Amino acid sequence: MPMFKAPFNGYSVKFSPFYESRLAVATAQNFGILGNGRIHVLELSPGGPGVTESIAFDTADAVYDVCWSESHDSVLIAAIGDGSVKIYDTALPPPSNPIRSFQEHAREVHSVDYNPTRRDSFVTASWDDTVKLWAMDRPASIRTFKEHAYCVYQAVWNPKHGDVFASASGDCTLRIWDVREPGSTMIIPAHDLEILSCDWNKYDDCVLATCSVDKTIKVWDVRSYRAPLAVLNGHGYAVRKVKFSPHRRNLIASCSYDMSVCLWDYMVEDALVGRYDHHTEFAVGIDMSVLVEGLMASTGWDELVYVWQQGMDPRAS
Amino acid sequence: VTEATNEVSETAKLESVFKNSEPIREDQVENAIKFLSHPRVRGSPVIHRRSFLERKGLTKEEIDEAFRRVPDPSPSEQTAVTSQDGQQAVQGQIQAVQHAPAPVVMIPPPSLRSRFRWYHAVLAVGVLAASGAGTAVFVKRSLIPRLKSWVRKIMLEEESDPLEKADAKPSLAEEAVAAAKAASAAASDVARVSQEMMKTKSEERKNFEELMQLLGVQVQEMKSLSNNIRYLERNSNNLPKVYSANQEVYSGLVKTPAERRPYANGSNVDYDTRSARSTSPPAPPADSSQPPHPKSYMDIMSMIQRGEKPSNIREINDMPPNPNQQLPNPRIAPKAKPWDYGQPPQDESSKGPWWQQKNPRSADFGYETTTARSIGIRNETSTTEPAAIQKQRSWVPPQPPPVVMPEAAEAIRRPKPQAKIDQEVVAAASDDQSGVSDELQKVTKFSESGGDGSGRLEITEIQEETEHQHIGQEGN
Repeated sequence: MPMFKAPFNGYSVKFSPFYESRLAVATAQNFGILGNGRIHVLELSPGGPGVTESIAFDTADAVYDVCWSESHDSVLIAAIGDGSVKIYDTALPPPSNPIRSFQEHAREVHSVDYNPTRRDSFVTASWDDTVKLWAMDRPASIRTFKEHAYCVYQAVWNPKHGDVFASASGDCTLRIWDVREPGSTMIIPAHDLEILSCDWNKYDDCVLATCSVDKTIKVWDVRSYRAPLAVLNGHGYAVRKVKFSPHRRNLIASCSYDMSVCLWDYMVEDALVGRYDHHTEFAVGIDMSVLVEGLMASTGWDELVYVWQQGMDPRAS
Repeated sequence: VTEATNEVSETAKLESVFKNSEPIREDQVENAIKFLSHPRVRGSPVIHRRSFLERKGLTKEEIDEAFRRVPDPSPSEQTAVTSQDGQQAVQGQIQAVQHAPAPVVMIPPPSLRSRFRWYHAVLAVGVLAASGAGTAVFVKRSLIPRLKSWVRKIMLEEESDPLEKADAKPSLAEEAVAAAKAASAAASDVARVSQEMMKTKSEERKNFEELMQLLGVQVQEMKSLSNNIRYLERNSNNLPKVYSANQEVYSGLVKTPAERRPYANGSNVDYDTRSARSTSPPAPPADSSQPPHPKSYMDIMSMIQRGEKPSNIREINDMPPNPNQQLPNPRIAPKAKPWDYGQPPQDESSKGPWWQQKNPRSADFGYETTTARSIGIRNETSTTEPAAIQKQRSWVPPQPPPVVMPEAAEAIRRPKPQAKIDQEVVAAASDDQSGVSDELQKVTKFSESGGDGSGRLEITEIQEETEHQHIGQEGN
């Protein structure tokens, strides 16, 4: 499966919800410590295994996350280390981009997620302890959710309920929010250490997974949230991202500072069902395609992007 | 209309699962009250107190109830003052540690220190006041009698010397004047001395207060330093394992202004001294494999710590060239998600471009046979789960699309008719059980065109086909 070599360290990778062969990559110079950033839009070559870049956008600061609009096929949104949220139109050349820049967060924006059901809004999570709700056509955020006591690493929309999202924070809590409510509707102390990522089960809207610096992934049911449904051990270091499969009910993908990408079935006794060791540095970004079953992508601090089918070797050409 | 009300009630029922409906647990509230009443806790910012209680599993309602019951004179003022102090102390520390990387020191528990501060300050002020009063009293009692006796002595001398009185009369007067002058001089001397004493006393008091303040700042700095060290220990997993973990370098890392890492959170240290700390990672080999790039992560970190900027950073203007640039017109209708049908899609045959082709042994996700497997910790009820899930795997009635509360939606965003139509059509289409997989293929794999003309999908298909005509092969 092909790989793409970026000039900067990879941070996040996202498949387009419109085009099967398209994906976006967020990268940051100097490991994201201090430096510029770049967004790459990649195309999978139809002829044979290969990945090429179709367009790229340079940013003054690190790009920590990127997401595609669910309403406009050529639009993507970037979470930037200088606290800004930028909107890009991939149909316009780089000199005409970005088309919007929102400067509201007081610190690095660590994640951005577009609402897949309502398709008209997105949430950003920042190290300034807040989550903000935005619409592309509004000049300012619609709401700010300020409850976490520490950095918020990710905010993710519920796949069925368009007003509900979850947030994962360094204050070791997972919070469930409803945009119609003034504050969080649920607080789950999911881990003893920082929670770096969370994602909803696409086929059971009450179930979500969290992953943490404590090396574990935990699966929760909000209806009985005092104890997790499952605790998945196997990663050697902090787990950076967790993602529920869009096609298989109980399948979870994760990537970790132990440089591996793992697949889990949390309903099974021996939960670890797959492991890929293609990265040579921290694996920090993963995605599973919504349009193509089994298609996965990952990126890491080794500046590489891999795209492969589950069951295949990511490095095979 | 009944359909709509059913949907509303179902949605309301469904969405109430995202709220905690348990009653308040009195035992938890009482534990929280004990915690909040602790003198150490009272001096901390409210957000830290809340965060601690949240991590103990208390619900929002329980936490609010505990706050309500704890008599707290002026929580907002306290928090404002302490958070400001905390901030200033941390900022002062940033400079301090940059210049002198602090060695790791064992710090006595903060509680003793804070108590030491208060008691000592009160005691010191009391001592000063007492000593001042004592000195004043002493001066009054000793100096003035001395002055009086001196004057008396002079008078006696005058009286015991009548021989010199003849021409001493004018001299007596002179002497009396002189004595008076001397007395007044002495009085003014005394006044001056007492004034100086007052001044020195107030200076001493000022000095003492300054000393106390400096001590307080020191205490704060040391507190934050210990917080940072503990934070770093907890987060040592967050840094590359390939590189050696030098404690000094780490403490320097967190303080650099250019440092990316999130700022240290001081909440856990003071109150949750029993919280689990992650064990430090095992020491890596002395000379790790060479990274492919000249600049490794630690190199860059130490560069920044020294105040140097990596040379590869460019000045980039990434502001919108035209802030009023219109959003583009969408060229493709949004696609339904595979989970919108309520059940996972069937396994499709691996045809088409390479990215759709699956491993023939598709049951096996991993290709490495020597994968280390570990057993996940299971919930006791998990063994019964598969059976329940098996039942759920069969076709379930489609869930109605989320109903928008018009007032809420208006307040928050404009409704998008396009998306709604798609969802309703798709939901209606999924009623047809037999045709589910066929329709899925039609909707999700847009590279295939056409279909068998199922009436309910007409709208989406027509949209897709017109899009296809416009954009040709671009979607592929």
